[in-house]
Amino acid sequence: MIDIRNLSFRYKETLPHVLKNLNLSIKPGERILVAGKNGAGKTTFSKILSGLIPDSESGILEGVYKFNDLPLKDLTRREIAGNISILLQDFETQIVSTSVREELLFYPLNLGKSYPESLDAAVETASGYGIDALYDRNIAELSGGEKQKTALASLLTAKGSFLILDEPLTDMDPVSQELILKLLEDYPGTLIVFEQSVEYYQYFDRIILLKDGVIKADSGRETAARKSILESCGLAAPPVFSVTGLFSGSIREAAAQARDIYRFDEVKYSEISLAREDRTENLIEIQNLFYKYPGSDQYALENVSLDIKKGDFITLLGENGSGKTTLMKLTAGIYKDFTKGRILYKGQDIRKQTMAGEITYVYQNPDNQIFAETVYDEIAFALRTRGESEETVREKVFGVMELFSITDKKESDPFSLPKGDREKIACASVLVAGPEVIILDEPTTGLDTRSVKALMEIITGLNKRGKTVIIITHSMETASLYGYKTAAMAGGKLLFHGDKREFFINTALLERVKAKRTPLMDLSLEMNQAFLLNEGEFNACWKKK
Amino acid sequence: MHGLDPRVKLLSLVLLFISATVSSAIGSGAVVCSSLFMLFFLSRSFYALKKMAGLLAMIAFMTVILWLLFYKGKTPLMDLKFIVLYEGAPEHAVRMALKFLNMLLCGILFLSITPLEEFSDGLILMGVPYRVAFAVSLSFRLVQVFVSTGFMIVEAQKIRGNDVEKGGLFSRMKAYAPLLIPLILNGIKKAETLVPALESKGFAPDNKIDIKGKYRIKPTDIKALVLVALFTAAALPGFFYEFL
Repeated sequence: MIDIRNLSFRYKETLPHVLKNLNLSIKPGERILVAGKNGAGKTTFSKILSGLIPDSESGILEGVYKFNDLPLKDLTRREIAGNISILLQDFETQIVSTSVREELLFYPLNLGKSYPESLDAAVETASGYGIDALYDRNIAELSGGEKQKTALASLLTAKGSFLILDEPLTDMDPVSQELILKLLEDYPGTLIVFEQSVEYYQYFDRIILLKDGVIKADSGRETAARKSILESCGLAAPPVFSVTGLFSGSIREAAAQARDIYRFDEVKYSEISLAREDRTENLIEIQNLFYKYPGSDQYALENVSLDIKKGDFITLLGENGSGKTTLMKLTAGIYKDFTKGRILYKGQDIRKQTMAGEITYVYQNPDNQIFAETVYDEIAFALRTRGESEETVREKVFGVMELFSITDKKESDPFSLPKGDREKIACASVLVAGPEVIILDEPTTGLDTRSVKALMEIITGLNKRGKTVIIITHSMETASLYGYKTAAMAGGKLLFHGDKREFFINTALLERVKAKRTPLMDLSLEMNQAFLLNEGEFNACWKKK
Repeated sequence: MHGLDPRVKLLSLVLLFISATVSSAIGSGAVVCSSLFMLFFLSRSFYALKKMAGLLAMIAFMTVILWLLFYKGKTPLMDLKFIVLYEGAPEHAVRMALKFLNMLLCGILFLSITPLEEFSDGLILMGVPYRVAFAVSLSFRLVQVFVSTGFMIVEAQKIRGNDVEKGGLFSRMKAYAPLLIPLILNGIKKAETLVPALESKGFAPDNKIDIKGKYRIKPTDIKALVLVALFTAAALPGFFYEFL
C-alpha cells in the first residue's frame, strides 16, 4: 500500500514546485490512470512513486511517502525495485542489454534471483506477453514499438506488486496498444499508468487528473465524463463522449442512446461520402522499390510502388517495423542505396539530385535536429547554409516563426522549451527553406491534445497553400482528422494507397496493417451503418432531434 | 566461434594479443595478420572488418608515415634537410604498422563474436566484481549508442543542407561543427537517464549476481583454447628473432 501525505517537490531551491501538496492512498490491486497535459508533473510524480526521485535524481522532496507503512527512504534499492517497477517515458534508455533475452534476464538477476529462476521468469514473461518471436533478437534490430514492448516485458519479469507506466502507449500501433492494455488487465498487482489522455479510461477504476503539479480530481472512471474539469486540465474528453455527450460502457450502448437523440441527414451524408479530392500531377514516383539495410539478409521494403501527387496530404500507417520510416527516408533521399527499383522526383532519378530544400523530413525526436543557441538562429541555419542574405533570412525566419506562433520565443534557448515547442522549432527549421514536400515522422508523439491540434492546423494550412504533406503516424485520430489519402504498410509491403474513407471501411485491410477504426467511426457504423470519419463529419450528418 | 564460452573468448583475446605484440618481425607479423583474417572469415565477421576498413587503413598509413619520419637509425638513407630518413626505417615502419593492425584486429574480432553481456559475464566468471564488469561492458554499449545517435544527427542535418559528406577537408570539418552540440546534449541526456534506468531495474553498485549455469565449458572450448595457445607459443620466437 502507498500512502502519500502533503508531498511537494522541486528540482532546486530556486525553482518553483513541480508537485504541490499531494495527498493520496493507493490500495493493492487498484488500477489508476493519472492524466495531465505536458508539464503537469506526471513524470516527476511517477519517479517519486518508484523511489527514483530523490535516489537517482536529486531535488527537494517534502512530505511523507510510506510504502507498506514504512517510509520509502528506509528501503534499499533492491527492496524498492523488487516491489515497484517503473517504465520510464524514455523507455529506450531503460534498455540496457543488447538482446531481448538478456534484457529479460537483467532485472531478476539484479534482484538477486539465481540464473535458472531468472531464466524461467524471462521465458514465462516472453510467452505470456506475446513477444516469443522477439526473444532471440538483437535490440538494435527492433522497431520503436517492439523496443517499448521489450522494455515493458522486462519489468514484468520482476513480478513486483506495483507497476508504474509513464506514457506506455506513445510509440505503439493501435493494435499493440490494445494488446498491452488487455494484457495489463491480467496484471495481478497495482497498476498506475500516466498518460496525456483519458482515451482508455475503461481499463481503469480510478482516474487522477493532474494540473501544474496539483491533483484536480481523484475519483472513479466517470471522471472521464467531466468535460469541464478535463478541459481545465488541458485534456480532451473521450471522443464519443465529447461529440455525443453520452458516457456509456460500450459503443453499442452509446449508439442505442444516440439513436434516440439524433436524426440522420441523408443528403449531407451523400455529399460527404461522395466527395473526393483529385490531384493529377505526379510529383514523386516510387517504382518497384526493394531495400535491404546494410548487413541484413531481409528486405525492409519489397516491391513498393507509390505515386505521390503534387498537393497530396497522405497519412502513412502501419504496425511498428512495417517499413514506413524506411520508405520515407528513401523518398526524402536520406538513403539512396536501394537494392532495386527507382524513385523519381519531378520525373528525375532522386539519386542524381540534392533533395535538401526540395523534400524535407522532420524526425520523430526534435532534439536530433536542434543545436543553435536561439530559436532564431536555429530556424535561420538552413538559409544561411544556402548563403542567403541576412535580410532575406530575417524576412523568411520571421514569416515561419509567425506561422508557428513562436515569434515571442525567438531569443529563447530551444532546448529549454517544452516538447511541443521543440517540435514546432524542428518543423520550422526545415520548412523555412521552402520545400515542396514535407514528411513528418510521428509529429504528434508525446504531445498533449492542444499541442497536437496547434501543430496539425499549421500542417493543414501548409497543404492548403500547395505543399505536399506525408505524415507517418500511429494515431488513428490523426489519420481520421487530417489529410485525405492514406497509405498503409505491413511487412515491408505497401498494401493500400488511396482515399482514407475506403481504407477505414475495409475491415480486413485494417486487420492486416494492425490499424483500427476510431471509437467515433465505430459509433457511426453502429448507429446506422453510415461511415463517418471524424467529429466534423459526425456533427454535419447527425443533428439533435 | 560465436558460441564459445566467454571465458575462452577472453583468454583467447589475451593470447592473440600477446601473439600480436611479440611478433616484431615482418614475417611473423604477416602470419599473425593472415591468421586473424582467417578467423574473421571462419566466424563470418567480415562485415565488422568492412565497417572499420577505412579507419584501419588510415591508422596503418599514419603509423608507416610517422615511423618513416621519426625512426632514428645509424646510417642516414636520405637527408631532406628538415628531416632525415634512416636506413631500416621502412622495415621498422611496416613492422610497427603490422603490430598495431594486429592488435586492433584482435579487439575487433573479439567484439564481433562476443555480445557485451557475454563480455561482462566472462569477466564475472573470472572473478572480476560485477560493478567493474558491468561498467566495462556498459562503456562499449555507450559507444554504440553515441555512434547510432551520431548517424541520426548527421541524417537530420543533411536534410537542412548541411551535408558532411561533401566538399573538401575544411568545409567538411565546418559542417561537422553543428553536429557536435546535439550529439553532446543527447549524450549527456542519455548518461543522465542511465542511472535511473539501471536503478529502476534493481541495479546497485554493491549487487552480486548469480549466473551459475548460464555457461558450460564444452570440448570445443578446450580445443579452441589449446589451438590459440599453440599459435601464441609458435609466435613467441618472433619476439627473440628478427625473422620467422
